[in-house]
Amino acid sequence: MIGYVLVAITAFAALGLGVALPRAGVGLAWIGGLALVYLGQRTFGGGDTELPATVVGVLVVAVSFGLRVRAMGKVEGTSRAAHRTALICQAVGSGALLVWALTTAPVTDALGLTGESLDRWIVSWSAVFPILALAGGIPMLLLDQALAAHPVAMPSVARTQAVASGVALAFGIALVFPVNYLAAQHDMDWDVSYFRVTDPGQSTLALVGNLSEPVEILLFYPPNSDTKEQMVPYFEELAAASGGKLVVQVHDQPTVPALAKELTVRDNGYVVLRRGDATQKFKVDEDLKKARRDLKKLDGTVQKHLLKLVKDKRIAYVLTGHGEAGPRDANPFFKLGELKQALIAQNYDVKDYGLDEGSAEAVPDDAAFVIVAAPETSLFPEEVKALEAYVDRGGSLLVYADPGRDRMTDLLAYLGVAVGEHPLANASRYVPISNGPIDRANLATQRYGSHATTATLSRYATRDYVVMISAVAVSETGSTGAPGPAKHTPIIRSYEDTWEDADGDFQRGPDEEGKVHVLAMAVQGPDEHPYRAVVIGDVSSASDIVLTRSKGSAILAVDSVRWLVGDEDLAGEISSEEDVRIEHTREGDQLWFYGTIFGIPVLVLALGGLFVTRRRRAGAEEGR
Amino acid sequence: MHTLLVARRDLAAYLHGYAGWVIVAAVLFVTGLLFQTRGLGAGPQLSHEVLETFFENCGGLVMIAGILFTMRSLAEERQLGTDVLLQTSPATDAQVVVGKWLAAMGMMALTLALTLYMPALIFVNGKVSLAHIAVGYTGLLSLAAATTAIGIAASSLFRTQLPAGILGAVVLVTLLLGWLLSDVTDAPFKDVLAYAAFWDKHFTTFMEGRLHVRDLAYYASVTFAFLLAATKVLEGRRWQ
Repeated sequence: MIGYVLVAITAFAALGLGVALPRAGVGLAWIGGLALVYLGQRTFGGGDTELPATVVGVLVVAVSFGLRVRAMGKVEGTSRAAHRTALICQAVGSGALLVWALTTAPVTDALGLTGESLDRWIVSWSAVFPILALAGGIPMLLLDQALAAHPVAMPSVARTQAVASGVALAFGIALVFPVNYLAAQHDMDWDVSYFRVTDPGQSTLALVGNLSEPVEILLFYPPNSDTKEQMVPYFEELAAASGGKLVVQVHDQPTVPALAKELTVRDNGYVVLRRGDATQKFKVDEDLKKARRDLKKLDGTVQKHLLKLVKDKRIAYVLTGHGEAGPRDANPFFKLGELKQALIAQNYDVKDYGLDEGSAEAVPDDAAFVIVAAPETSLFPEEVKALEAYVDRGGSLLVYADPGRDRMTDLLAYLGVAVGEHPLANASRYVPISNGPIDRANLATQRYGSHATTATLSRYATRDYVVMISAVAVSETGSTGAPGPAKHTPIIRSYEDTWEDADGDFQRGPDEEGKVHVLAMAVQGPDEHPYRAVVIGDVSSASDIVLTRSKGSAILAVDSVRWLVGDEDLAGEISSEEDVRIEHTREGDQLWFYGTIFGIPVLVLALGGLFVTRRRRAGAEEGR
Repeated sequence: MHTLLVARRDLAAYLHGYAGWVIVAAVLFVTGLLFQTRGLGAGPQLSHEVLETFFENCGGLVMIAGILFTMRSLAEERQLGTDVLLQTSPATDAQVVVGKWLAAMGMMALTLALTLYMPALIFVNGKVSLAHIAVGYTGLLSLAAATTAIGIAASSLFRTQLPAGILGAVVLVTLLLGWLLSDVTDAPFKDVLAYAAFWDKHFTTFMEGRLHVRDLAYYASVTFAFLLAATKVLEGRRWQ
């Protein structure tokens, strides 16, 4: 129904304009007729309205010719000549209808066109009919406009100019189509989004610098591979730092079948690390486009495989059974999946350590270190004893505390450490997450102590923040249960305006003193009992949500582990060119916020205003 | 030569009046606001996401600014009667149109240059390439070229700024949303409408740091078509 109404309205409007405006309306009537044909065939195609719309459209086009002839008969001289020219243009434009008819199914069926020949036929004529419609329609409309502007006698020059302008405009617009078609068909593209191959990180350089046996790196790539060109400088830098222990070779896989078979390399696009009979292999596609992502984190991949090759696998035990944070925790602020992955990349086996595994008896002898991640309930006295015995014999503990969780009083007292009861807060330097007062507990700090665990962080002290989402203070108690004397080193501190938020309102009350709090402490036993422990006041600082966003927190976690197991010589950043989430503190936000929104626009407005005023004043003085 | 004279005259008119500076400052203010609320201030985002959001915001504002800068260019000449001076000057209609377009582009380039500090802020903590920024700005300039051409064509049809601005905006919105029609039309118009998508089809690639010849050709051809139309309107006015 709505289709019929639309057809009727369009036809009525077109013919009405044609009759009411004999000079300027004929062209509009013609356009209305074409529009109706289009509606019938394309919009209503296959429906009840298709035939009526098409027939009415063709009729309106035909009537527009009649209106043109009638208008021509009513005038003389140059105006008649103008109408005649418009009639020719109208006929050329209407030719588009005939050409379009050649692309319809009845015609192509009658010609027996199928497949590729049908496609070519349709594409060719489809390109012609818009050009004909434009070449006839635009000059005709401009002639109508000129006729309306000169109702008595139209100058010949106006007719000539109208046709010339119309044809130029029509072909100008028509030119747009083939140009764009050619550009799309022969499109060339360049992806210039961020890409860089990693440089060797300090820890990887340290690793190759301490190699005890030769290691070969074999790159399997064809001679013209762009990926190979990108990787070779990285490996050459490693080789240079290894003092001759690391050798780099490049092979084209098909040319060295015996070697490829020995190393089970079935194709190009592989990197093999070999030390004696042991090998490690990973893939970096020979096509640079596909390899971009792998190349951005090449250093991490190489280090992971080098560690597997040159270091024995070690075991990290994670205490369980008291509601500790862990890799499968549902709360993202307590989920430690990324920490586990970082340990695996450092060649650790990460094992649970609960009552079933003997946590109430003794820490296994193969433990490289034990993680105690913010238990909700107290450890059993037997478990504390087992951990104390482990410490006594030179073991290593990585202990995370958290507000609202068990304060592990006995275990920490044995290490000469205690943790606070209430979360710390800072009103100026915090990470906005919910944009409410609660964010003040999300501490961000660049205050690092002088210690192996923070050597890398200190190097980038102005770049990376350590983020703690609700932390408690860590303090030294003055005496240890463990054999002493122990050395306590604060490794992470808060800013001086941080307070312990005893009333939990995230507002600094009169009794809540602002001061520097220790957020993480390293404890080291004497030479005869070389135990090591790192106590961190917030388990969320090692959670997935923080480690994936805060590079500083990730460095702290990995370098703490390296120090605990005596690998501090490997401390350092793993180089990565992967895109990072931009995390910033509230303090930084405010500076950028006001500078960006108000600073620059006000400056532009002020300079512009000054320029205009001075200019006008100078003009006025000249006038005097 | 005449083209540059017209361009210089119009550029001076922009810079010697308060309106041009107000438009530039307003665009910078809104760009900064969007950059903070949708980009840097919208929580932790990857560097390239922040940059893409910046170009997205800037693109929208470039289109608005393009119409604002150009809606007065030819319409005001007619309103003040100074079009007679142009018609009787040695400059051809094409030179007048191109000169006015160059002046508007000068203002757009100045505005965009003043936004450069925003992507530079991403370097403080993030990782983006200079080439990505360059490609994004190439896209913004292409978008500005096409938008100002549309604005000038609209301005050539009217005697006052307001209807010129409205028509320019309508044409722009039609080009922006025309691709939606491609869902309800058949070939060849379907393909044409889908290809002509002013933003979705051609600008998003620049935002992502991908430079396509087809997108440059598209914006160049839109610019050419509308400047040609504006020229023909001026020519038509001579013989009318």
